[in-house]
Amino acid sequence: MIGDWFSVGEEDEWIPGSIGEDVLRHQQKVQEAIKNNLADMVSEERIGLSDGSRVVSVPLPALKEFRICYDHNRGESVGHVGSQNGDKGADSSGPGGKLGGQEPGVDVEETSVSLEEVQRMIFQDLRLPDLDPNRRADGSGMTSVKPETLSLIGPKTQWQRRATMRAHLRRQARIGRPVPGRLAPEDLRFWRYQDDPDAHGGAVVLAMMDTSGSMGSFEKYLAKSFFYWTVEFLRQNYSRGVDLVFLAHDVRAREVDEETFFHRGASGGTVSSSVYRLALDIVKERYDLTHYNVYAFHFTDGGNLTSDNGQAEELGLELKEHANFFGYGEIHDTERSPSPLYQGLSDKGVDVIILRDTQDIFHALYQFFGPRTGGMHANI
Amino acid sequence: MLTSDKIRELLQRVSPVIESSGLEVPHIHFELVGKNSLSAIAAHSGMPTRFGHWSFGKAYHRMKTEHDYRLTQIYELVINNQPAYAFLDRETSPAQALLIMAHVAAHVDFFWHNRLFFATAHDMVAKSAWHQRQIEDWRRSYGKESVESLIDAAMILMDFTGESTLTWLSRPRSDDLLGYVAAHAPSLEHWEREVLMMLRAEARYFWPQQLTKITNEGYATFWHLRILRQMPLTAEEIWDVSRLHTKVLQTTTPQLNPYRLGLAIYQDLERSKGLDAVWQARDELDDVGLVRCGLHEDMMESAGLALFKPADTEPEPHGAPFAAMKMQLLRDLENAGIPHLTVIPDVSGSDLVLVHHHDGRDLDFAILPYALEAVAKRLWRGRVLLHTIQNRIARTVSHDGCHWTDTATG
Repeated sequence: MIGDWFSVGEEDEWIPGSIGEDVLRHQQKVQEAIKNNLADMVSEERIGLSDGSRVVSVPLPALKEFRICYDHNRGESVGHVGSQNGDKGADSSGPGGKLGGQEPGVDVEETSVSLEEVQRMIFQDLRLPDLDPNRRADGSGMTSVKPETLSLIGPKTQWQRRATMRAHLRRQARIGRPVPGRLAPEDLRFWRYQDDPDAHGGAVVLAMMDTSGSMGSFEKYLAKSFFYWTVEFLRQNYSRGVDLVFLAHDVRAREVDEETFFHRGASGGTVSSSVYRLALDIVKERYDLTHYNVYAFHFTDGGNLTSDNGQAEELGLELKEHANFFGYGEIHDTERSPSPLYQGLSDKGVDVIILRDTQDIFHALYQFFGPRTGGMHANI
Repeated sequence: MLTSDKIRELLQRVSPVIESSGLEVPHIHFELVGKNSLSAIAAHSGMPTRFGHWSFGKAYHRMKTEHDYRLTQIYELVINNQPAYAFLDRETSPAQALLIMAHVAAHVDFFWHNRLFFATAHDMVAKSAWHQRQIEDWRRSYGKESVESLIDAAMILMDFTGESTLTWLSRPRSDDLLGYVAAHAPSLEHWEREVLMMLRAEARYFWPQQLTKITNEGYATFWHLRILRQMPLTAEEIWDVSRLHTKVLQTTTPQLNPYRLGLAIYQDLERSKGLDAVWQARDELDDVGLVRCGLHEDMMESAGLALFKPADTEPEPHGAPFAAMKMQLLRDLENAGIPHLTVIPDVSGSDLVLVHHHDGRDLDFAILPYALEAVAKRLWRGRVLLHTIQNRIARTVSHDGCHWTDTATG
């Protein structure tokens, strides 16, 4: 009997609803794992050096399904030689079809997360400290709005009568009646407003880095990583209105472009006052303090010339007076006591930090940009 | 886009050929679903409803990604159940649906006849849905955290529910680790033991399928090819069907394609010994058996098999004498690639003592501590000991939930 052995259905109720919850729970676990690994990720070299890959593989032990199994990385197993190799006649449009889908796939030990995802999680608690909105900082809120274009939908308060009438008459004319009739929904026109950020003002971040000969590859790596994350953070959270000024110094200070700043070599001694003086000059010339929030960060290995310590401290404090915030970071790869400049600045209330290993990049970010109340390392 | 009417029409077309082929097909319910539903059901290993666990979400996410990037595509899912269910992708072309129907019919015939499935539950769709409801209730009563960690740990032992497929021997077996723990773990609550037994029932249901991937897929591929060749098809349909068939047989280094290997063996069986040998293989063999008696030296060339070191990032195929290659393949397939573990009932009762029956392959010591830790912490709530061999040295490893020890005992 034909037709006896089968039935056919097209019901939606077969679709497993619970998979949604499983997916959510999995994503939640991914987020938790990322959060627990943030400090490691910030110091991850592949991210810090921004080699162009936008996806990072994060080892997430919490998400691995551990089993009692053979060590598949040892020994050999039998498999097919891929049909793509040499066999050009084969259908190359799509690799592999599975008629059934029951066999579980290979377990991924690492979860790939996009760089954006990691950054979002890191940056969500970070702010520019003591930002004065009256200095028109980030272009939101304090901007004016002006009508830009017309749109077919909008709130009644933005109804534009003249444009509506024009559209109405045009439509009437198209159907051969050049006189006003009844308004139809498609005749309506509304103003659409666009934010117009105040062009003058905002915030400026002065990134100051010691590039003297005593800055080894480790010190440079830490300083650059910190600035890399700072720049990314500012670009993403304050897309408008944050200027970045890159200052590199040894015995002399220069303003450099971003590319040079992150990739230049190092030589010479260290005179920190030179970079503070340059920073002060730049602020005076280009960034009116009534319009700009000024943030200054200086990273060095602490090997400042002894004769310069007095002047550096003095100029550093002057910089602190002009800036909303001045952060001073010293990078030590060994256990040694902080430099006299560190002591001096610290005693006068400058925000200082010592970085000893790669995880401290994360700590520095949180100390300088993290929530002000509730301790410096509240979010770690 | 297929509709249920179109499916009915196509089934009418393929029915006479299936019936005259000799396949014995009980009632199959075909269900048309979208791609996402298919991925979701596949993430549940084929069950429309299964208990909630994040690993299914992870599997779903991976399948959906693979599908979105056109890495692999799932066309159908067959569930060994009475009645049998087949889920089809709504977006398949009609000609390809003909091939898939023939493929499905052969799968169901296989489930029906193969001796490994004699003791398999025939109502797993309903049972699994019931498990889901029960576990959901317990989740509400005892908290998400507690149920999730229980399932996390139980899944480690789901690979070890007994190597035989004959469950009606209800005598406790030493290779049924999950059953042993469910019965003898000193301080589990009643509901926790019940969860373990539910997961054990599901693992038992899937176990014969794990042992018959080549046997089953090869068989279904053998038949869809044979049935389609006997059907009057238009040139366009032939092209469409061949494209899908080629895709199914496509290989990616260094994976073993069970469809391709199985098809080669069944075709060889039929050529050399006639169709009766195919029926016999269907009735009696698992993957190990099929390869042992069906893979011959003269097929090696066309089968395209090679040895690979999976650890290499770009595995290079290297040849080996036929005997060595076959031996390695049999070892890969042995016990579905899962180590042989048994439990030694401990008289003192406080430790869970496991023995790994070493066959030349070492356990993965990188993740073993984590696996034993979860079992010790959440299930046994005491020390778990495992006797094994690593690098030719007998070792006893243990985890008590806090500490991992590893001592040479030989």
